[in-house]
Amino acid sequence: MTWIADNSLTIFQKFCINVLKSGPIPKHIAFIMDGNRRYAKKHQVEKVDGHSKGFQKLSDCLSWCLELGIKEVTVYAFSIENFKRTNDEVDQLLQLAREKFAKLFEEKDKLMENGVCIRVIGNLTLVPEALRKLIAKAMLMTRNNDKAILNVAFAYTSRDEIVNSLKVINEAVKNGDIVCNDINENLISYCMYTNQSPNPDLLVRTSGEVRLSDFLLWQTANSQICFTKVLWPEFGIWHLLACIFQYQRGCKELQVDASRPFSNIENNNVKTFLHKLDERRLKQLEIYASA
Amino acid sequence: MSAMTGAPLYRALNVLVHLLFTIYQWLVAWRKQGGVFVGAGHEFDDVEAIRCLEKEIAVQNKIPKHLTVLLGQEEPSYPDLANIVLWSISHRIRFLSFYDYQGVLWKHQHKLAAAISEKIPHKDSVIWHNRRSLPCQENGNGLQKRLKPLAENGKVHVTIHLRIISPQNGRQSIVRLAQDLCQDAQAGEWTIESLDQKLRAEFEFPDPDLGLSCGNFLSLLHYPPWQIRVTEFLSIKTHHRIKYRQFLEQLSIFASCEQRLGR
Repeated sequence: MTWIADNSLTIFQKFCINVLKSGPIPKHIAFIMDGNRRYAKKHQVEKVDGHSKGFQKLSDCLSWCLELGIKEVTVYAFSIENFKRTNDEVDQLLQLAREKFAKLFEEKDKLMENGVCIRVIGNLTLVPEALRKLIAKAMLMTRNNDKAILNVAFAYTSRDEIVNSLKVINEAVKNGDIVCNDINENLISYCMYTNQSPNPDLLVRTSGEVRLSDFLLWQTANSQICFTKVLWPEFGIWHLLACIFQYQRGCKELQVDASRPFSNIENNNVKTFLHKLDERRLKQLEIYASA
Repeated sequence: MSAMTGAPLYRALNVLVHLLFTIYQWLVAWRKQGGVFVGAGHEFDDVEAIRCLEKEIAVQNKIPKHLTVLLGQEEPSYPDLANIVLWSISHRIRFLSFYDYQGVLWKHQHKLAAAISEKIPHKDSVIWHNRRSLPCQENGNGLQKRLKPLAENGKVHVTIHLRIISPQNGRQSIVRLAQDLCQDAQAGEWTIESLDQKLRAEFEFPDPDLGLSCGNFLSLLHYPPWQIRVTEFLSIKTHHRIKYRQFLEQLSIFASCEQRLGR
């Protein structure tokens, strides 16, 4: 199973994509890929097979998004809350993640040729060392690619991300890099794990659940949210096109620009601090990669 | 046909498909209202459905502690919001909030208060929370007393806490908290739990269990982000002329939602 599936769309599907592309298309979509375990139960297979199907669906979905011209995709792969699952299931999920990230390096040429950038957003201190090393290497390998961006939320919750941002800011205030008055919404956004990405235009959750489950709560302030009943492994091109169609209709009614870039930072102290923060995070990745 | 050469055709088809879908939606809405033949039979169905829903909700025994209504881009309809307050009280929902992104409801709170008074004459049934006056800034005992149903002339009045939420209660409250904590040398360790405690104290209400969103499309429009971690969002299309039956349908759907909380 590959990270970027070969595009096997029919002529009619491509035609419909072209029709949709003539209207507004989200620049950034976020997915809560829910329903793997219910899929496994429905088809009487092991949970890990359900998760494996889920990864395959991610791969298909990425290729469809590329076809639609959606440059950035964020997916909720593993929540910090998921560590509460049984040891067996957590081990299986982490093992699956290790296999998929290891596979990345086998497909390095394809990824670099397609200009795919992989970023993992989350609290990497909670991730086992072996997996963390693979994640760091994947991020470093692809970090200069800019044709398509995949953000994988792993060991992530929004509250943890917000607290982390505030801690980083607090440290900067204590070090004298910035002052209290420099703290505003924009600065907090720039300190998030997602600081290199515009906010999602559209958030899609599959499987019929109608909550955000601690995912991108800060970043989805203006996003359109689409709940769909289909289980993630059964999410097909027509489901995606239906979400885009709904998004286009929503654009007219809501008239908000979710993915407006963060405001420019004018303050030199803040600019310097953010630059140092990015360098520190890069350095930390290099440490993880060489562990 | 490539996207470039067929561009005007694709655009025309895009417009056509959206137009056809709009017509389809009008037809569905018209049919739902019974077209021109709304009659006694239709109303009888409503009474029967309400009876069933009330029974279902009683059996499911899961009512939101805090119900929040997101007005979206709708103008507030005060009599309809007052109905929601009344229905929430009758179903023992303890906390009710209205989120008005545009700030109209905040400016015209007196109109909402007047509409509520018409439907709910007992003043103490509704405990208002707002910025100008904070009736619940009492000591813990005072607040506890007001949470209990009030007894008067042998009748028990159930109370509800009501507030209007605005975008200022959202990201800005996190910014203010960050500024305060940075200046507080005694702040202690920054954890999710400690920040949650401080944000709860400012928000005053528990996190919303259920959010009813108005409009054809859901967007949070800067609803306070910290508090909606596991809020269930259901769409009611519009709060204008909302019927009791629709309100019950949402409570019934909520009662059947199962939260796994990561497990």
